[in-house]
Amino acid sequence: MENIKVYGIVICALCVCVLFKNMRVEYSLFIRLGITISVSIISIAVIYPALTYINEISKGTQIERHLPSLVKALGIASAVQITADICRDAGEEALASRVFLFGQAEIIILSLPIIKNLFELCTTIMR
Amino acid sequence: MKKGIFIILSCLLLAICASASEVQDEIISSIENDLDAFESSLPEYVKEFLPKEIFSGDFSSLINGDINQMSFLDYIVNYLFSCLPIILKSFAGLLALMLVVSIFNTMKASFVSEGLKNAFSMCSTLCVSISVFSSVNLVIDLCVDYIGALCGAMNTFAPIMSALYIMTGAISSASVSNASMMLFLSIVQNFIAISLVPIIKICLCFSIVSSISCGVDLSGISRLIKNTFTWVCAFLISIFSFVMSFQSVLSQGVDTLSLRTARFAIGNFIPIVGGFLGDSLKTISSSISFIKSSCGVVAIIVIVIITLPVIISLLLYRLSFSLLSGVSRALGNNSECSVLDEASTLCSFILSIVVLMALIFVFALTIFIKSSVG
Repeated sequence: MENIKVYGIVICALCVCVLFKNMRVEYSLFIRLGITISVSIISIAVIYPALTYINEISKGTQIERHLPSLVKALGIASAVQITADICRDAGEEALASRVFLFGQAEIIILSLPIIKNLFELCTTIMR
Repeated sequence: MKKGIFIILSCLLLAICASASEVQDEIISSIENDLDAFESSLPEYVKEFLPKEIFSGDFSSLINGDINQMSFLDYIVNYLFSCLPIILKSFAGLLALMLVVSIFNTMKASFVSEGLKNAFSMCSTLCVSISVFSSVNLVIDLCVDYIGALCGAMNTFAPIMSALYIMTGAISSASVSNASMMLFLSIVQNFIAISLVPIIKICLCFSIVSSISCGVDLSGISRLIKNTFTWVCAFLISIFSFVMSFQSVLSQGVDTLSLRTARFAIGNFIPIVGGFLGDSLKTISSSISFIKSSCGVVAIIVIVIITLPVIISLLLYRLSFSLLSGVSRALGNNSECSVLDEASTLCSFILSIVVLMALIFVFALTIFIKSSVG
């Protein structure tokens, strides 16, 4: 029932936005922003138990070391996508592109420790 | 008079028989140091399998069948159950990682930006690569330990081979086989140390680079290096087998001629007992041949015991990487699938080299066992 409530809220927000688009464009933007952030927070709340469970079962296994990096990368990508979509909706394509660039840089920075471990493995192998 | 001659001849005959029965003890005492050196060069798990008395020259357990099929099967099953948990743990960890990556890849499909998708793919491929290649590093260590154990055992067995060849009167065979065995051992040790292990490591590093970079694909170069190396190894081993075979045949012919000449000379130029002495040479040669064959069989058993665990481990690792590759392909993780395929191919390459090395030593020992003079 929770998901039907969320769908209902989104559709209501859509109707309100369409109404305000003809009267006050700026209010429609704030409503879109508010609903987008709310639905994103609800999505994170829904997926959080699954991520916690995966983290629990990976304790003591060889994937425990790298799983947090993967989860962080997914979180960064999702946040970047949401921000870029909001910017696009507001008509700011340039902002959206910069947000994507920032997201890619963050994911690469996140991958640097893994790359370092890989090169250390290569050095150990070649020795 | 006739009675006296008969008594003297009987005493001489008994003396010859008595010395013939002591031959085996003398042979064993003369090669005792070499047998001790051979025993000390073997890994512990090999010594546990073989009966202790074999290294002191008592080969009756070979005849009685103490090294029988059941205990050998027990050994294989025990080793399988000991290495299976380690490989299964690695397999389970990688499988879990594949599943998590595939779940995250479905969420990746919702990203609009291609750059973001590529960055996320790179991150997930890196995580998988480091886990897979840590396992492959264990396989490389296994191969290096195996080569060391095999070459160490054959280095210490070569003097025993030469000594037994000489005792059977096969002096040409001894010099030829010793020279070719030493040459092959030094070629194997230097060739393997200088080329095989670095080649495996280079191919592994090429795989790592190919897996983490989207545009750079070094798998073709890696495949070329592996195929060329396998071809060169097979060619060298074929040449060595061919040379050893015809050298063995020719030297046996020379030794047979020498022994028969000696027997003829003894039989015809030594009065009265010359015939007995000539025949006793054949008896002594037969008893030495038994020890030679037994030593050869023990060496072959040692090679099989050293090689079999490595083959079993390599097959299990290869199977696990192939299974993971299939699962990864079914889940749609294509870049991770290529990493696993490369790891599986590396295991096959190492397996082929291990089997080639074991086969050539078994071939050399078979020639040693089958060679007979007279």
